[in-house]
Amino acid sequence: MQSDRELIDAINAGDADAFERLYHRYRDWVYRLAWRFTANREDALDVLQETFTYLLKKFPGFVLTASMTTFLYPVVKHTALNLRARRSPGQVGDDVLGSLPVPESSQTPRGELAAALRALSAQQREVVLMRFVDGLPLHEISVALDIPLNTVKSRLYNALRTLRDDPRTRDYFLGE
Amino acid sequence: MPMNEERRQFDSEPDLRVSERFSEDLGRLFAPDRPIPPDIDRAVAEAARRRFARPQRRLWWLRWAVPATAAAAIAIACLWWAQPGAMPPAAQSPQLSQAAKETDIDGNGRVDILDAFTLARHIEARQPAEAMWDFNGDGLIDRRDVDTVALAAVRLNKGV
Amino acid sequence: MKRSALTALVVACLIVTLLAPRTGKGSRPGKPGVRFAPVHIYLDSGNAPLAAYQFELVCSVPVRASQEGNPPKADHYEPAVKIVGVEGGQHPAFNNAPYYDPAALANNRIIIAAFSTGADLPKGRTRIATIHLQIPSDTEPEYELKLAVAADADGREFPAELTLETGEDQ
Repeated sequence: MQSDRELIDAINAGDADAFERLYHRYRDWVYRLAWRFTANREDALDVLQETFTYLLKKFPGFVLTASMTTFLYPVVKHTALNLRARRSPGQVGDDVLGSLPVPESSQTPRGELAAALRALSAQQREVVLMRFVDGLPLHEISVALDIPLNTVKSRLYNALRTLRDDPRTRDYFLGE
Repeated sequence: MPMNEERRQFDSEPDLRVSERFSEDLGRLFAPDRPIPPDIDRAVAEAARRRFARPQRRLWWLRWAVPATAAAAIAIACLWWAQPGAMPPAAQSPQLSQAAKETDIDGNGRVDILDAFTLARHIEARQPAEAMWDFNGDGLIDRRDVDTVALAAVRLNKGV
Repeated sequence: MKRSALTALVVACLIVTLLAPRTGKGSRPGKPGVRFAPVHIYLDSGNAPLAAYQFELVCSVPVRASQEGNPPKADHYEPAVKIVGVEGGQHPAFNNAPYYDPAALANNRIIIAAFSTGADLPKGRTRIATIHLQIPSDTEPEYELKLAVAADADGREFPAELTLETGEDQ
């Protein structure tokens, strides 16, 4: 399987099929992230298309200086937030935790997890989701958010400590 | 918490004692409710083919374009010098592409925010709309089509 | 006694004020080598109510001679000034984030536009947008601003003046 850099080299040389392979490699990841920021299928699909349109315009001449996910994360985020700002003025928050479908009972694991996440600050929640849902290592989160690595570690540490102390999410943490 | 333990947390990944179930449940919490329709995939593939098709065509013509352009320039210069006072033909003003013409709702010859504004006022006033104003192809003429026109107006590479 | 205590307090306050570290106005620190600064765009419509606008902004820094031994590579070119965010204006009609091409983010050129179909429209000089830039610390960008559209509620274009201001306090 070709690496991302090999695909990018091929795309820079004019290979449209290589772009399509790159698209399929990251399509679902981008869509899930877009969904998280928009909570709306149509908007998430718009963000998905706009993100890859933006990437397409970078060729030829695109140089990947970090991982693809590190590059794509701020593009998806800014595109989605600006779309939401136009559609729903006054809506705040970097993700749509407040708009998630409410489970029938807050006693369900999913409902309790959502409630516990709401207790975190938006900055802490973003780092947790980037680490555990988007699968980004800490140094890539630092680059994607353009913040120092120690700030990432601090936010993640404080978020996990809060979740570990929360009876609703304590079971996710392994024993000493 | 003792300072030593807190500092150790910073030195290594703070999440080593989190179970895999945490990632799984978080992923399910934020999973989209429906898959991506195939027409999105087709649209992206088509955009890539269009983008990368142009340079190859340009390369094919390049072999003949340079000498042809040079010959044409020489011919024009000779004609110009031969007829003092005559001016070379004025440059044609750029024509809008067919897609851009459809987006030029107010018909002023350019695609700008006034086209989106015109469409928005039409929709709010519930005036009759042209079928071709369904720019996103969802069967409705609504605010999403206004957004489509507005985004075309602010696109950096309009390609008209 | 009271007077001397008061005098001492005033002198102490003056000393603290003079010795307090000063930060540059109009910017906040970023990572080493860059700073972030807002650029506020104002449109003066005179007596006409502003219902729609469109403008283009290009930001550039003065060209420097490349350093010996480290010539810049064309394929690694990144604009020195980067657009990192866009905000709406001060009047409620243009509060929301305006339209712009996402491709402008992390580049130095942007086309921004917005309209309002509401009845309450601004007249005179109003801030229509704020653009946030990432700038190399030791440079002052140059700005090129071009107004493309200024129109009233009927879509009629009118002449207007477009200006920009830098600094946080707007």
